[in-house]
Amino acid sequence: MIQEILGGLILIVAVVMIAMRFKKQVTVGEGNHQCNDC
Amino acid sequence: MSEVKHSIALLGNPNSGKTALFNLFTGLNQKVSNYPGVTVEQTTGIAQINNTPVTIIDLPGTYSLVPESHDEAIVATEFVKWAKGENTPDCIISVVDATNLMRNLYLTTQLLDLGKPVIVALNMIDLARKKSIMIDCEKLKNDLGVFSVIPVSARLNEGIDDLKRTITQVMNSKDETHTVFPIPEPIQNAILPLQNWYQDTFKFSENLSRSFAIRTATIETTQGVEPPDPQLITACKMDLKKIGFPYETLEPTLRYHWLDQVVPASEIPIEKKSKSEKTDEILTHTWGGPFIFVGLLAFIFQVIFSWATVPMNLIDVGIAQLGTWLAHHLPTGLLSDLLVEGVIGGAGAILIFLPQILILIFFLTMLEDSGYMARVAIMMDKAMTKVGLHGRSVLPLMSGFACAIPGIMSTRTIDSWKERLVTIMVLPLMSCSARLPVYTLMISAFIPDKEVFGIFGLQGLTMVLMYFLGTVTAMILAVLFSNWIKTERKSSFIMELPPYRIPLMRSVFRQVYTRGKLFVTDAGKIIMAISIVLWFLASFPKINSSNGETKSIHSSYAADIGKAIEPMIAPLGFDWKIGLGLVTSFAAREVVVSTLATIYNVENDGEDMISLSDAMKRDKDPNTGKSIFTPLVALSLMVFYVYAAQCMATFAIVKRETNSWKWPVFMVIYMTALAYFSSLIVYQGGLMMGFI
Repeated sequence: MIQEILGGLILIVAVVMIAMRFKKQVTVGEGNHQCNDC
Repeated sequence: MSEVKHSIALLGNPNSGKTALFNLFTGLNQKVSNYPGVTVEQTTGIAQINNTPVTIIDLPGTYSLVPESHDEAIVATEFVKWAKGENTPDCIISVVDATNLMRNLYLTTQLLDLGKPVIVALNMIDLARKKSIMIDCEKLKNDLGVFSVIPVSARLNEGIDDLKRTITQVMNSKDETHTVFPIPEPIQNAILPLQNWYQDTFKFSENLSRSFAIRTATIETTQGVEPPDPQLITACKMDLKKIGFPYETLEPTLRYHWLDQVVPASEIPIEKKSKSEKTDEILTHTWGGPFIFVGLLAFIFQVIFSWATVPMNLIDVGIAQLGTWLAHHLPTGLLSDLLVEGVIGGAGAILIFLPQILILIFFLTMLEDSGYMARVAIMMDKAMTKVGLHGRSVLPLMSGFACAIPGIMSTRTIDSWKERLVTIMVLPLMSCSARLPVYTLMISAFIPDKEVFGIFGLQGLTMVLMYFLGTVTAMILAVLFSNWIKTERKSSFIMELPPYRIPLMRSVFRQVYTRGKLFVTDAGKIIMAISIVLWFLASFPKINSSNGETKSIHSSYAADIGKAIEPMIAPLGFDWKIGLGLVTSFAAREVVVSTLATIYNVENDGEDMISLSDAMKRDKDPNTGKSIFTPLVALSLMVFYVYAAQCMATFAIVKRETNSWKWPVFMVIYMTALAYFSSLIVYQGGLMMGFI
């Protein structure tokens, strides 16, 4: 049961991370491979 | 931390080494390279100058305060703000290339008009010494009327302490600069009404007003300042004409005349050809030059393939062993499956490609820092003009091999909007580093490892072919787009050729490290998150079997999504697993690799992790029994990835740079269509020719 709960939490964190990255990409055009100094 | 009270601006010609000094002062990691136009935006950082915090402003390089491109306009606009008293820095460091004093000091003479203390940093003094150029710093300081002239070498960290000491002196000094460059009296009389207008309207100092008056008489307008009444300008021009002075060249003539007297005649002219010039005769030869360039690129892509094999295998084995160890030691259950199959199996599969990406960045940085890239831009100018691009398009296009985003941003150095737009539209066709894992996976699994012509490997050549396919298509489309987009004046291409320099390994490896870190942290995070979500989609819903509830990839949510796309992509030779990868690739192109790795690991459901390459080779269609992946499918998939528009960040940056949704939307449509139909031709054509 603990494994299921932890798995669920990890899933939620992953979905939030994807949503945040999506927002960043479409609003400021920040890429995954962009050099941080350009 | 104490409050930052002082600010210093770094200004200079392109490629004079401003950003290298900025990095030395601030400890930051701004990109520096050996070609003009690396910095296209204003950047600020905090430096500790002898224990006093100081804001350092790094501005794009410019030859004068009369801008010719977007990045140069940033400097001119900022200068006007300072003139109006907005965030005026306490001091200006005019970074000057010591090997080209006369041209570099032109900007310095304009900066002096602000009235703020100016320190001339004679950068690249090491190269000047090599060229036997001796400069009398004290004489130069007195003649120009600057605060100080300090010889430095940002490359070798030479003279930086002297520069810091001088900055401290400036900050403790109350002196303002009052240098006035000499102007013949008749000219002074002719520009006086304009000068008075600036003085009365903006309350500029006499010196600054005079400078603006000269500029207005020369070019009729000044960046960032409302122009005076046209009648006033015309009257001034008429007066200048009366005394026989060509007003169109007033400002450069006056300033260069002054510099002719100021620049000490201590530069020993070089009579024989320099090493750089001799090297240029070979590397930029009309016919030989392009062959050398193409050969060099082919060599680099071959090397990426061969050098990376050992570290890639080591990472592959390491990840497999970690996964197997975890599978044996963690208690059985959902979390352990998620970690082994999703996180280690999926996201870990991408780490294998890190060595290749680092080798690619290493070579691109070496080419830039050596000064070779600037030669390529000059060499390709004629060819670029024929396809509707610009010599300045070469460097952004080349940086697109690493990532399209900084490439698109650096198109700001192209002053013609049409040429800039065409460059932006074709730039994502240059194969970026995110495509590298896709090419490598397909090539290593399905292209035989055999020699061609005795020296080339077939696998390496296939990789070269993918890069050239994108590049050649970009050139063809540039012709089409430039005919289609409304014409405007063609811009000329003048670019200073930097001297060849042996790249500083410190700088090269810093760049490689930064990019490697970004790949692991930035791209890695999103790849891991997607792998986790995908694992859930591939593992649920569970089905009832004789062993109780078990996973079945074929009836999972992931399969449902993939199978919904399958009919559209089946003509390209792709099954639902690849289709799912095409969707997840929109977050980052290489996610297709982790997607396939996650799906095959879930499907395998064993205790030991499987190799993605082996799993792809073994995968068969459950209905027909035919292999899902064949060399033809691999080729079709690679061609799809050469052209496909799968980078949301690129669209967002195109929207930002073009200030319109029209262009990013057009980009997605044309690239997707190109990818689909090219892939279709490759696969269906291959089938017709008897390939499988």
